[in-house]
Amino acid sequence: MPRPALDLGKFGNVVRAASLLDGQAQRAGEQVAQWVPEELAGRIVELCGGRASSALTMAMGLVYRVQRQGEPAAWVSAGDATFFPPDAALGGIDLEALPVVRVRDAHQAARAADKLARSGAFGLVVLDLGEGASVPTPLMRRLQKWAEAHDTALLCLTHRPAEAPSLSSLVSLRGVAGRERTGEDRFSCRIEVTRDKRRGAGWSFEEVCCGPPGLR
Amino acid sequence: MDRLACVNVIDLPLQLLLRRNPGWQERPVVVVDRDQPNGLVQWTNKYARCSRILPGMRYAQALSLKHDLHAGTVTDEEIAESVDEIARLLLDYTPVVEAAHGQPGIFWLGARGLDRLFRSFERWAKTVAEELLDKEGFYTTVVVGFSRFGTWAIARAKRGGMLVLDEADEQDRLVRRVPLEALHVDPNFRDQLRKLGIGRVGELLELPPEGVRRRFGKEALLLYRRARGDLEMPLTPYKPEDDPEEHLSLGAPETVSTKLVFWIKRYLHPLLSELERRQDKLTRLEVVFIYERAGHDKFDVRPAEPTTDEGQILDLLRLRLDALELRGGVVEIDLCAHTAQAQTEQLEVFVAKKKRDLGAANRALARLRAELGDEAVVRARLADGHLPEASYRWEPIDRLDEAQPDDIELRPLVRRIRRRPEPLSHSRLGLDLDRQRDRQRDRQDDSIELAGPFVVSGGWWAGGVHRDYHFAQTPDGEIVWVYWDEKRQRWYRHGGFE
Repeated sequence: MPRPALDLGKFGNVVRAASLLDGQAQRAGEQVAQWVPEELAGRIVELCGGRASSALTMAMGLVYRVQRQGEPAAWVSAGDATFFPPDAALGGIDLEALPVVRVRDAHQAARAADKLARSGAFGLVVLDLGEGASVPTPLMRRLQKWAEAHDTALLCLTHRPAEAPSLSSLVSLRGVAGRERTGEDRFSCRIEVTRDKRRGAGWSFEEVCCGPPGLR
Repeated sequence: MDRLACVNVIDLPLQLLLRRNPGWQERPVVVVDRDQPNGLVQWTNKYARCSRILPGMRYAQALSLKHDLHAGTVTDEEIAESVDEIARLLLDYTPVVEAAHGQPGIFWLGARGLDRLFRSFERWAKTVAEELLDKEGFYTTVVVGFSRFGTWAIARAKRGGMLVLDEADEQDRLVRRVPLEALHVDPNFRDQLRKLGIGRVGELLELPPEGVRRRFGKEALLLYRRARGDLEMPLTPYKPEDDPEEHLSLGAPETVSTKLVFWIKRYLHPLLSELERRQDKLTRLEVVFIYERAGHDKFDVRPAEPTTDEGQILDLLRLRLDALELRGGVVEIDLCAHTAQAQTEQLEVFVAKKKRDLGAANRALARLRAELGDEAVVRARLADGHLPEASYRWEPIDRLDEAQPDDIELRPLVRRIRRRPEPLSHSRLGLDLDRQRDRQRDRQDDSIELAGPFVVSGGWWAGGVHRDYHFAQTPDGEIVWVYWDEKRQRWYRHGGFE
């Protein structure tokens, strides 16, 4: 008995293999780097900025995106100043689900980050290192190992000008975060990537933010 | 449908305070969380409520409404002790007693079949209420019904006496009429709903669930779902067994932390075996070191989640001892294992495995807590204060749950705030600000752009604070968050935008 011909009309989602490959090629061509968790996963990232920096705002944006993806994020804060929680809450972040580890200095911050990254339970660990921070290379190497093993993004916030040397040679991506007022209650926050070991430097990311009441 | 009852020992902390101060019985009384003007009112008696003093107010605010208001604090230990006493007493009248977590004075009792034993539910409920009054001196409300939330809501609204509901529909009708003010809800949430004209449970249930979550947050949605009966769980029986303890005499004074860990290890094993026999898990290991000369040190080791894993506890203990400075030779050690009943994890079989393991996150946080201290591992909670530093507080994070971020359209810039504002008297910025402030009065322009002032004042009970906040943009684009302190006549940098 002859086999009936396969009726492709029954399968609404069926596409021809050739067109599928075309689409894939097209998508690969369009792929541009973004300041998103997927791009930074498994890497040590340094974000610095000068006077008109937006590093803290951009780091919080990343925390928000990580939380939106259902992954835990943690914040390690060294020194006397930290993010202003009401601003973070206005940015949609679930503060109850954001553990903040408060430590004395950058060295202790890196040790705390080591424990968090080693657990493999965090999608993002932010190290808010403050001014003049340095982390010993063996500790950075350990952080890199855990970041790669668990696909964790380790974001180091430093107060270094763009022309100053990077925190470590193990930093996989370095961005300089700037800010510019573009209009009434609008600020353009921009990251210029000066080092990217995967894609090459030169790309940038821009996001428009509003000011808090009073700055509008 | 199984019958259950809710016993509400009305305002238990307040009754404990009045028991301590019998002379306050006929006077307006409140329980506050701390004995300070900005302490939060937690419980109020009827005389205080007549003056519109409600939970959630500051003590100073309440005092301005009633100048002869009496206030006191009740410690968590006092409350826990009473809850334990009451639960033990209730076990004489039912095999299943559950003390509500976080709501002192609320107990649920399994009531199945007790109407036959006591001839009717009315007689049983009456006996329970009378026994609590005669033996312990507590005034109660007892409601026999069909669901946890239903009986709880009615018991909170009724304030005294007893009620037996024969039909589940009858219970639902009554619950819908319960005023939200009578429930243990967040005062901000209660006030926001009042502005929208929503005052009863039935009116709350008319709202769409997604709207409740977006507008009022997770806790409001939890209350909503409980009210709708979505989260009905079977009762968890209370087990009145004392927490196991061990006392160690070391013989000779011991000053080496590592050796102390080995001493504890020797006795930890039988403690944990005892917990396993009881099907309990350890939530907190309390350790007391008694020194040779005088004095003692007391500290806790808390695993991320209840456990009987000896290795995990010893690991945390080692970290804690590394951070502890011994004051001399330890001659005796007391160990007390605080417990929680082992929870079944059967339901989790049906949950798809998540990419990240929250249990591992909690274990990592527990290790950091043990190494750096409880105050070092925190989370931010927003508060009502006017001053920026009082608009939030850091609280220890015991357990990390899955994040539920809000939907937003546009993110704001984020400020960095200093723990201690930096005085700017002799700095260049301070001088520029002085000059600019003077010129702004004459409407002249200068290189520094100053937005403000935004006046913030408060703390009048402690001498008063008056600050004029400004956002100052310097020529190089930096936006500094500064304030002029009227009292000290000085500029301070409180933070800046990054």
